[in-house]
Parts: sequence; structure tokens; C-alpha cells
Amino acid sequence: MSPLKVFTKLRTGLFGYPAIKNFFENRDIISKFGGASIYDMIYLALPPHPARRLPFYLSVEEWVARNLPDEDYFFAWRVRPTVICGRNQDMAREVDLDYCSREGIDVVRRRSGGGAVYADMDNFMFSYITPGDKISATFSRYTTMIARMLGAIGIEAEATGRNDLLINGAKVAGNAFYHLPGKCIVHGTMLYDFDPSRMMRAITPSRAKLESKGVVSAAMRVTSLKAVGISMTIDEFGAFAVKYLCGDNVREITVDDIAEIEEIEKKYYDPGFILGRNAGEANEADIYRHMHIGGVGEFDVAINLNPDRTIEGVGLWGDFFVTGDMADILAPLEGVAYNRHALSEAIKETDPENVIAGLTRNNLLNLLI
Amino acid sequence: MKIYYLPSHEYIKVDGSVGFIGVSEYAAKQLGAVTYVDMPDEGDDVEAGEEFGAIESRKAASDLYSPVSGEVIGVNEDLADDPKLINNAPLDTWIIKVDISDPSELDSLMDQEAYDKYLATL
Repeated sequence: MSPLKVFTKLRTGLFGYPAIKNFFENRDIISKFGGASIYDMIYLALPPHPARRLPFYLSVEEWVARNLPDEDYFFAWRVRPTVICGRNQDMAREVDLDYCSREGIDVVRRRSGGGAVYADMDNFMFSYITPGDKISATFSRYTTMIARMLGAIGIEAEATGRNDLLINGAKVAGNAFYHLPGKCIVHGTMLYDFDPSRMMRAITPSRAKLESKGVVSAAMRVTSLKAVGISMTIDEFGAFAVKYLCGDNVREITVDDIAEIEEIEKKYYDPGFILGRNAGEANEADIYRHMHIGGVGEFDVAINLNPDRTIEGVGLWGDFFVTGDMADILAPLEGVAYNRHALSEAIKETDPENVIAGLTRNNLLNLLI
Repeated sequence: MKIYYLPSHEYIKVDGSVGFIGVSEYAAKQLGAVTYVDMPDEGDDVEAGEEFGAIESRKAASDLYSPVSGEVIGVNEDLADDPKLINNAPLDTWIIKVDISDPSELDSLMDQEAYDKYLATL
């Protein structure tokens, strides 16, 4: 395969969308590492598509683990603002769900273990899929690779026993592990840049919750590649990571593959999974629905009712675009009787399209009831 | 009690028509300190080769697969308070107790000898 062809593929496939604008301009950075990677992993190239909701990428990992031959696979991806809970976490205890709903931050759950993390377009998610059952060895192989990769661009990072990568004692990458029969998935964050207040706010509960049995997140000092003076742009860094880890090896994910991946994705929106089966009473919404509204986005809606069947609170999470103040549509719902007529009256004066791009008043009503 | 294994490292100890399902010593060692076990409810049905729960440790989360089909007639409540029991004695710490609906499913599982051989290949 000609190098040009590989470049073209990476250009369209790497982070879905937007394409890596600076790829050609920065060939010198990439070419320093030659054509072959010492790690020789296979890069999973997704067809161009705007950033999807996070569970899609987790489903890519699972699909690869279950369907592709035993090899080492890698891909890098980015998501719009999202909080990802660990598999067995009490979501209401670990996440400020109201804040996320107001700020348009998606909230989802992964199948790997560990604590809640916040990710957005300034953060890379890296996924590594490899055969085997050996957890510690796989983890340390992965964190060592990534530490060496950073070392190659002059950033000294160290792997810790908790599977994080630290720069000067602060966390730049956190990783989690999901084990399937005979396959290991390691995935994690790599902070290129971040907004500390937004991150901390999103993954801190709004008020003290009751004791829960779930897995509790660990707080840590955090840093980013930008904070330690990386000279590449985020796109250059992504292209470099792929080149360093995979060389020119590419496995394209086809449209047919995507159809299977989207089937896997559905189980991530199952209320039993996303709310957590046993991980705390506080997660039980009285009404919980997952809906897609064409041209607007996907919605997870949680509604809590007072004993008299009036609304105590409503949360909306998903991949829709928030363009205004979510309180404008959520606050008028509080205390309203949970029936179509009362809800319709309550939102009469609201203008949902000014808050969520493309959302009509009727759409809003359908989300609620 | 006779013991059988899945390649994904769950075991089932069989006492008549009742099976006690847990994870093998190898799995417990790989996982390290167990922090949480996600279990089905009593009365749920499990299916051979299908997921019935998950186990999470300081290092990883791993799905749990059932070696047989049947109804869950007991879950190990001790694990809610002390999931590390699995690390202390994996073979004595069953996770769920199942009323085996089709004993012939046991024939496709590995016995101790076959499992030991399998471990040697990993």
C-alpha cells in the first residue's frame, strides 16, 4: 500500500470528524518515527462521521474483541462533553447529574471498572484491545507503551500501580480495564487540555448522598499535555500517537461492521445498565426513557415524581446541542402534575429551540410523557 | 462435589441438581482485590454461556458467564459486604446457586484435569 493511500485513510478515518487538518503540514513530526512502529498494533479506522455518543466507541471495542482475529488493536477518539461512570458506580453519588443536565454534558456508563471521569473534545480517549486473560501484565504493557510514546516527544510520564499515567506526580491519563473471555480491553483518557472547574464540578455529587455499595471514585491532582508544554496541536498529537503505536497498519471499520456495532451500542442505553442494577437506591428514577429525535439527537430522560404525582425534577442527557440555559425548560416543570395536559400548559411559555438546537415544544412534550 | 470450568474461568460445583457458580483461583488471582460483585436476583434465569453478572476488582471489570442454564435459587449475600472473600477462598465462595435445568450441559464443560491443562496453555 502506498504511503499516500494510508495517509488518506487516516485523514478521513482517524477521529471520525473533523478530519485531521494539519496532518500533511506535520509530516515531519510523524516521519521522524519512520514507517514501522515498534509496537505494530493495528489501527482501527472509522468512516468519517461527526463525533458520536461515547457508548458507540465502547461498542467498537467490544465488537473488535468479539469479532476480529487475535491481534493488538488501537484507536483514538474524542467525544463531546461526557461523564463516564464505572460499571458498578452509584451514578447519583459520583456525578452532579443536575449540573450535567444543565450544561449539556452527556452521562453514560462503561463496562470497565473504576471511577467516574469527565471527557470532552480536549481529551483523547485511547482504546487498546488485545488477546489474553492476564490483567496486570496487559495493563503494564499498555501504560508502558503510552509512557514511552510521551517520552518520544520529550514528556516524561510514569505509570502507577493504579493504572494511571503521571507527569510530575499529577494524573494526565487514567485507564480502565474490561475483560471478556480471552480478550482484554484497556481504555482511558489522555488529557491534552482541560477546564479544571468544569471537570471537578461534573464528577462531584451535588449533595451528600446516602451510603451506597457501589465503587467510589478516587480524587487526584490532574494535569494535561498542554500544561506541561506540548508543542503539537491536539490533531498532531493524535496523528503522532497512531503513527507511533501502529505504523501504517490499518483495519478499516466498514459500514456493515458499524451496523453490528450499533446493535451492541443499544445495550448501553438500557435503563437497567445505565442507572445501575444494584449500585444504589438513589439511581432509581421513577420514569426513565431513552429516545431518538431525528435531527436533534438522542436523549436519556429521567423524571422523579413527588408522592402526589407532581414532578420533583427532570434530567436530560444525550448528544443534543445545548444552545441556551437548560433551566429555562426544566424549571417550569417542577411541581407540575405528571399528565400530558398539565405538562403541555407548563411549557407553553417556553422556547425549547432556544435551549436545545432543533427541539420543538412538541418534541419536548414527547420526551416527557 | 464434582467441579467443572468454563474457558472464561467460572466454575460450577455440582451437588445433585444444584450448581454453585463462582470464579476459579486463576481468575481471582488475575483480578486481584475484588471490590464489587454484580449479581442477579433470586428467581432470575441464567443461560449456559450467557452473562449473569460482573465482577470488579481494583484492576478490572469482568463479565461473569454461566456454565449452565437454570434458575437462580440463591445469591451469596456475604459478597455485598465483603467481596474480598473471593480472593481468600475462590472455590469456597460461590457467587450464585442455580437449579440446573439441563444436566447434559455439564458434558461440554472442562473437568479439573482439562482445566489444568488449559491453564498451562495460557
